[in-house]
Amino acid sequence: MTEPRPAVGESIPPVRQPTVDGTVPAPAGLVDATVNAGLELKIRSQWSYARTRFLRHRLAMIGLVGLVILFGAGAFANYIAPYSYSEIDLNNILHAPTTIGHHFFGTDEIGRDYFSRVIWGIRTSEEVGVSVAVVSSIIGLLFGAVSGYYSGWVDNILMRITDLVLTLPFLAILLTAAALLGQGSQWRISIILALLLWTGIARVVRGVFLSLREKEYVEAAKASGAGDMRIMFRHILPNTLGPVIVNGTLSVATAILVEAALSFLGFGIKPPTPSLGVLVNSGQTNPQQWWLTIFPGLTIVLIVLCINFVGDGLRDALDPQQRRVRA
Amino acid sequence: MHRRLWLLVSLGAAAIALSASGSAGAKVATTRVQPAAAPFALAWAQVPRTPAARKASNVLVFGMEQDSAGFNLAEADETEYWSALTGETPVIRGDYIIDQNGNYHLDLAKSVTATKTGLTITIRPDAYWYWGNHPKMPVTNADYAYTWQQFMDKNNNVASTTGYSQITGYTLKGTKTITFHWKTPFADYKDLFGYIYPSKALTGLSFNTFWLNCVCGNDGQPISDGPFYMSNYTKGQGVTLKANPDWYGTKPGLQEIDFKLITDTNSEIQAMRGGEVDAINPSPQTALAQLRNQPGLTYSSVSGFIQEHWDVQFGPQGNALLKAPWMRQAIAMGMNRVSLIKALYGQIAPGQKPLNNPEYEIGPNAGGANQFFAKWSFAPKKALALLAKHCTGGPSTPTRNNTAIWTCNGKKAEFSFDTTSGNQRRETSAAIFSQQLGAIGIKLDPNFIPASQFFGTVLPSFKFDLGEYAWLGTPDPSGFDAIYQCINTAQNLGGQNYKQYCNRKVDSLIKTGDSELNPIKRTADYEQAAKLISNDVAVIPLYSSPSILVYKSKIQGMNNSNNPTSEGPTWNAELWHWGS
Amino acid sequence: MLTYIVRRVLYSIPVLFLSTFLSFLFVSYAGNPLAQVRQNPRIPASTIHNLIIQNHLNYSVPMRYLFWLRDVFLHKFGHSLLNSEPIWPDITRTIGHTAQVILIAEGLAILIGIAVGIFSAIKQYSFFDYAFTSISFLGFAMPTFWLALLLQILFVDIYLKWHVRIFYTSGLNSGSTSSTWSIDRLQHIALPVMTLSIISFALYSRYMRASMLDVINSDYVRTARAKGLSEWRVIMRHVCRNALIPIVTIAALNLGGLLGGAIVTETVFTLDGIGYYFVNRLGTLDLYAVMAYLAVTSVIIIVFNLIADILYGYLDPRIRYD
Repeated sequence: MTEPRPAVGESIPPVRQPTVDGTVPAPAGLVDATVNAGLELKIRSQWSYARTRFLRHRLAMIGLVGLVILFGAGAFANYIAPYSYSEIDLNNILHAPTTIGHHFFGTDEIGRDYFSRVIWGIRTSEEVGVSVAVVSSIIGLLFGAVSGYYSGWVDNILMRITDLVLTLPFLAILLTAAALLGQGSQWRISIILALLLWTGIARVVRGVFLSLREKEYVEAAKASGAGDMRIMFRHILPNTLGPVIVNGTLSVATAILVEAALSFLGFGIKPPTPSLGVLVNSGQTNPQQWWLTIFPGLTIVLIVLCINFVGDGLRDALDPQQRRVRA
Repeated sequence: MHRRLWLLVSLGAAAIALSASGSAGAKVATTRVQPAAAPFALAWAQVPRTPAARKASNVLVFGMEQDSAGFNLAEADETEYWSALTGETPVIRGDYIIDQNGNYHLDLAKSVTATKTGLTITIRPDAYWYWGNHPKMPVTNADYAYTWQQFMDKNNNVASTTGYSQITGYTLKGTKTITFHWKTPFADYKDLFGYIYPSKALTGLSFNTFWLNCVCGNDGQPISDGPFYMSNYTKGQGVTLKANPDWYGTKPGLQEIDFKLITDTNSEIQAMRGGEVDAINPSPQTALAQLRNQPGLTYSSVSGFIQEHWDVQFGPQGNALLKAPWMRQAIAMGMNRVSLIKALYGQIAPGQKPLNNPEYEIGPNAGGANQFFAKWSFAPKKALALLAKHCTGGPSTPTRNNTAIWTCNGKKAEFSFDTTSGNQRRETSAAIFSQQLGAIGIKLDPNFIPASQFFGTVLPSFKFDLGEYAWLGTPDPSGFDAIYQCINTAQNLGGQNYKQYCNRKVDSLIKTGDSELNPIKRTADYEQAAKLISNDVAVIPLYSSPSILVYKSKIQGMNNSNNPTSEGPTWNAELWHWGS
Repeated sequence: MLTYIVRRVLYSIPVLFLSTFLSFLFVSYAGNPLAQVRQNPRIPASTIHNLIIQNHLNYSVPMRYLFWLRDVFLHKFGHSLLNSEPIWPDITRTIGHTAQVILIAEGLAILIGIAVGIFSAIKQYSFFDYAFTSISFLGFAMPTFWLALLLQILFVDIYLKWHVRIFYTSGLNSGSTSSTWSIDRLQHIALPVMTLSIISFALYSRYMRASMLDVINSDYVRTARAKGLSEWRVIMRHVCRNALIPIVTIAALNLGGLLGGAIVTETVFTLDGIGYYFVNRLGTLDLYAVMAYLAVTSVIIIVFNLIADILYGYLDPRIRYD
């Protein structure tokens, strides 16, 4: 699934020219007035403005709290889950949710506690999501930077490679990886997903680089003898961090959704590691037992929703040309 | 802008219209033989929608779980169950037909005699081929000769030549008798010639490509020597069978049977509950439990022939500890097979028991005193005692969530367990047995491998310790030969013996049994072999998948139809009819 | 513009070849396709030998790729690995079914998404706006397979409790009639269409809203209002048209993405579509069938990406390609 093109008007966010140390200067007259009144003028950086905007964003705050709860539950699965995720109890199969024996989410077809499995599933999802986001952001950043900065035939080739990666089939690759490398742990799935999902970030970063490389300060840096690497990483890259952070956050959600779909189809994470997608699959074969389908699916929805809220908040916070008031 | 938008809208409309025309009806390739009858969709339009109307016009609708890959059952990839059920059993007959208890009855043949030098078959005098609007042709010994030649033709992708390759030639006598000559008798002769081709109708067609979309002659018209003929088949939709007026047996009670393709078991169940289909033969799934006590429906489940088992690796590629008989015995006794069966089939096939005979699966040969594997039934304390004698470091009693693993002769009792991925039953099996064996100090490392790799690479390379998969067995034990014979590639023996098991006594018993024409002696040979295999714990048989048949109680003649052999429920389809 | 199109098409061709070659490599190394026949304990060596020859398995993988290319052009994608069924009729049949579901879902999502987006933008911060923003967020967060399963379970429950069939929960037709646009067929594809459109709708409504808001505050709209045009005219004539431009490109890109979603919906609802076909054939490593699917979908994705880029340039006079 490809990254949609930015809408008209939502072009590459132009930034106010930063000074050498990255702070934004205050309007001139204000400084004098403040000093005369005996007050101190605090110079705030770009990031502190962004932080304030983010903290004021209602939905983003809700999302953040939700994420902390969910990911925290996953990270501390050892302590929170009342049972191990593979503990079988053949006397208690397909039990509806109940407080007896702490089976809050019921049991599955061989008596395993579903609440524990969902918690461990959250942990697997967060491992996959975060690692895919980090690795694919790095890859996308590098690709987009080189492609956008050098332009010309380098850009052409790299963009064709991007097209190529977009057409490669997830399922076939996962099948082959299973064949050649054996057992499918969540880390291997993460690497493969990261290698296939970096294209969106690459396009965005490329756009930033393409527009910024013509700016005067880049010319000035070149004139003063700065090498390509320095220009790319010191001058242009910081401006991409905003979109990269936003895209990276949203790609956690994409990675979780894609991994769940692959596990649901049977091509992803193999048992006994519980994955939310595999859990929903067991709901398909037992449609009468509603809890098998509802709980893992709801968990996925909540995680992705929270990530989207946070992502929305970050996008609003990091876009200084914010004309729209926060939703 | 105005114009451009309209351009886009019209493009979109064109795209929709194109796709609609593309999907309207399936296009059968014109290079293949086409059935002369109407496509399934049109035929379906005539099928009455309500059960009452179906009863009035003598039509039955049967749910079909898998689409057919072709109806030439002797061809390598066209051996699917549903192809056999719809396109073979009621349409193309052979020497014998196997009933629901695994007994062979003479069908197309009036008599079959096997001697040390040959096999003599006499065809019944009233056997005819129905071939569309051609006049009916008698089934002759030329058809038998043609069939044998097709099996032996090296250019044909035949699924199996076992038995046929032992035949050296034939002699015709009249038009109804044929004698095949052999040097060593093939004891399982009853399974030979269960599928006879119409030699005249197939002239000019190639074995590898005929009958992909029909069971028909070279002009596309349906052909049959059974109670029904296939009036049409449409890929993705289903099969229609119509009563054959020229059949020699009981006149069919139904005029037409429609097999409707419903690949999702849950939908099959709903269709059964809602009356949209009249009978189903579903693969076992827990959801079937809701059909068990439905008023108006009859639910039947019997033990089948799909033998689920564990292979134990004897070769150097496996864990060396498996070579020790006490280790294998301990593993077997640490597994509670009854609990697995209860978890998997407790609600849909109650009374299902573990398999205890590695050569016979159903009937008296498999039960009673012939349950040789029963001595290794679940006995964790005995298993622990065995292990304690030879190993150290394990638990003293079977304990849940035990982490202490035995060390024997310096090696840890930790085994890899390989099976196919995407199979819920095998995941359950892995989970249950990991827990049970863990409780007595044996660790299992499950690996779920895609089927293509499991069967294509893992098994043939012998690189596994314990592996779970299923064999499709037959009532006759000779089908398992290649699984237990010592491997001898030169003589093509033991080709599926992935566990590299070799017991010379078992080998010689199998060899004798394969050419022993006296059925009593033959059974004794095979039972002796079964006893030795069980004592050696060469395999750990788990269960045989149940065969389930659910049908409307108003249908008569189906009480013996739940046939777990590859004949399927249509073996007595001529007896089905609507009661009042 | 024309040179741009030609150049893009020319660049796409090596990408297509490379993509199919890589996919061919992946599937060939995923395992031995003859594994299927090995499950039969009695298969004779001559049959295995025949199958190897017929499917060129005795050649190296790159050579097999060249055989496949030849079969694509001369024999319409050739035949299935083990039983010589021709592949092309299967592809045309299944892709017709998939196209029907996807196009209807996309059409519904666009229409409703655009309408909701426009309304949300006009009535910004109203209850309607907040409600539909929440629904959009939910739509983004919903996994396709879960929504499909929920709808399936819901309508099965309705059927079993009240014995009335509103929508069917699997298959393409139930046998009374099976023509493409019959009521029966529409009843069968209603649920998969709903699944796909609910998820796509979120995309369109959000982008439409954002796009509208960008345009609604721009200078030329203010001019139009100042000229004295009614608000309705302003919205319809000036705002909507320009706001629709990015939607068109998103639609083209999304259609490619929906093919991936089709795999999941078709598996859950067991529709006879190309996604289901692909998953089944991949399981048995039916190489030519899998390659046919990959080739067809790669072409579709590349074509739609190209259409998206072209449309963007064509419709927005401010964008110039050279």
